[in-house]
Amino acid sequence: METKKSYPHEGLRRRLASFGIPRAQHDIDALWKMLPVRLNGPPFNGFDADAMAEVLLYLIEKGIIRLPCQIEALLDFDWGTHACHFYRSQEDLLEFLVPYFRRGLENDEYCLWVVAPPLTIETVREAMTPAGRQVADLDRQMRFAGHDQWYLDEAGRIKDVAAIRGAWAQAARHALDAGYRGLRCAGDTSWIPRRNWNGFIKYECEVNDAMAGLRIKAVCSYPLHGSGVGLMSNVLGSHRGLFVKGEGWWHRIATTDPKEARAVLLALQGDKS
Amino acid sequence: MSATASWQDLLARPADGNHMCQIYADEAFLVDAIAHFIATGLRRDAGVVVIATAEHWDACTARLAEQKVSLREAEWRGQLVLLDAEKTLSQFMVGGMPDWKSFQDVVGSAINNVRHRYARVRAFGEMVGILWRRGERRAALRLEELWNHLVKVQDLALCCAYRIDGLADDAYDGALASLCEAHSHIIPAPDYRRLDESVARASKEVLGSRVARMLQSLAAERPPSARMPAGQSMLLWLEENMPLTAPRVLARARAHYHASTS
Repeated sequence: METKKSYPHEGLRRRLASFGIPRAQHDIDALWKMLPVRLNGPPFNGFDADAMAEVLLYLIEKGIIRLPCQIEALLDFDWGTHACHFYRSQEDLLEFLVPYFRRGLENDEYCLWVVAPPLTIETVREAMTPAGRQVADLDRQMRFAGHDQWYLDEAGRIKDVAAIRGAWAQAARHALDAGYRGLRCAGDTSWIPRRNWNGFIKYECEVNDAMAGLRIKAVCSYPLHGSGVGLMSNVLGSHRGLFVKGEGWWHRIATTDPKEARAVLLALQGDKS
Repeated sequence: MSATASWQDLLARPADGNHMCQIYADEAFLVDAIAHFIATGLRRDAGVVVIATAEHWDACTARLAEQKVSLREAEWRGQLVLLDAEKTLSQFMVGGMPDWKSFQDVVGSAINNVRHRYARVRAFGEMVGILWRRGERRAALRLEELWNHLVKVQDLALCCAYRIDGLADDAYDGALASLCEAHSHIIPAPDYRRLDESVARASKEVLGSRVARMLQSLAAERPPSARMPAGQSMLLWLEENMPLTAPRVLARARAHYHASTS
């Protein structure tokens, strides 16, 4: 019978501490929450504290993920960043995007949120309006657009890449002309029919190239459930920076190798195991 | 897991410049591999140089006789050259280390003689295994360097053998890792599929299926320099990156592998 240890070996604890993970968070339950893997809670069967610490240290030391952190630590992007965010639920989506845009408002950036079902403009506007702040204040610095308005033409077909890219560039110019430091934007991709993925990924790649040097920060959100291996690889190849929530902590997947990033995403996908 | 070629395919059709390393716990596996390497070489019209211990050569001769391979004729044609491993080794060891010039005079010349008649040459040698068994690891690894040089200049295919159990704890004290550095391929077990399945099952039991799958994918992105079955590669990856967890996976993999043998 193998004994389960609550804390990893002292040598591993020293390495965890060297990355800034406080000793109070070295117990098996805390380590489990830091792993970018979808796991049931305790008991962990054979998976003990040593193994958890070794997996976590490998991922961090090899630069595959950054240190797990609270969402607030992930929101300061450089201009020109085109990142992606994988989410499991509507709550996940709001948990990332609301603070993301709030940080933009605090930083004097113009914000543009392209909303797709199941979220509605009303829902996100309400989520973005803290108690005591007027909606009118928000509307001066932030715009909400439906995905149909932003991405589709009058016949309901996806606009061509140049038109969508042009709309982002125009929004960025508007932000600067209005005296803001730049444009912070986000769009959700859940509405895109599977048959249109290839075209959309082509658009994402072009956006990636076009954004370098512009005063735009963009996040594209992708549902984690139902994202196949091929789609994940394409998404990873067309963005710089990937965010995903684990068991309470947020992860920035830092590896530039799409296969490594995909391995982590797959571990986070689906039901717990 | 992986689509690594079976050891039978690898030994039957080695590319020139391949430097393969067989590790074995079971003498029968060694004899099967040498016999296969020699028989396929002779059939493919390659020159074959065998540097084996007397005991292993006797076992191999019997196995080849079962396959109706005529060694006497091959020797008469100059296609097969047999050297005794202990005796040959003693001819180029100087001060406890192999000496390049003497090695070249003894082993290089033997290979060169075969090369004059046959465009392709393959060699089997277990002198490194003898040094390893005596505990002379530095000398064994130095001899591998000399072999690597010879493989390059003579453009031959070489197979070495070590009596190391790839599922034993002591293989993971750096032993296998150092052999990976010196070889193009590692042949760790007679049944690759069973090895892969045993390691995958053990990893799943110790780490859970989702973590095990993630680590297998990550390990595949940073493979060892030598080619080998995925299960063996995973064990080496665990030794390097998760040294406290690796022995637990290894113990279970060993149990599964042997349970499915019996």
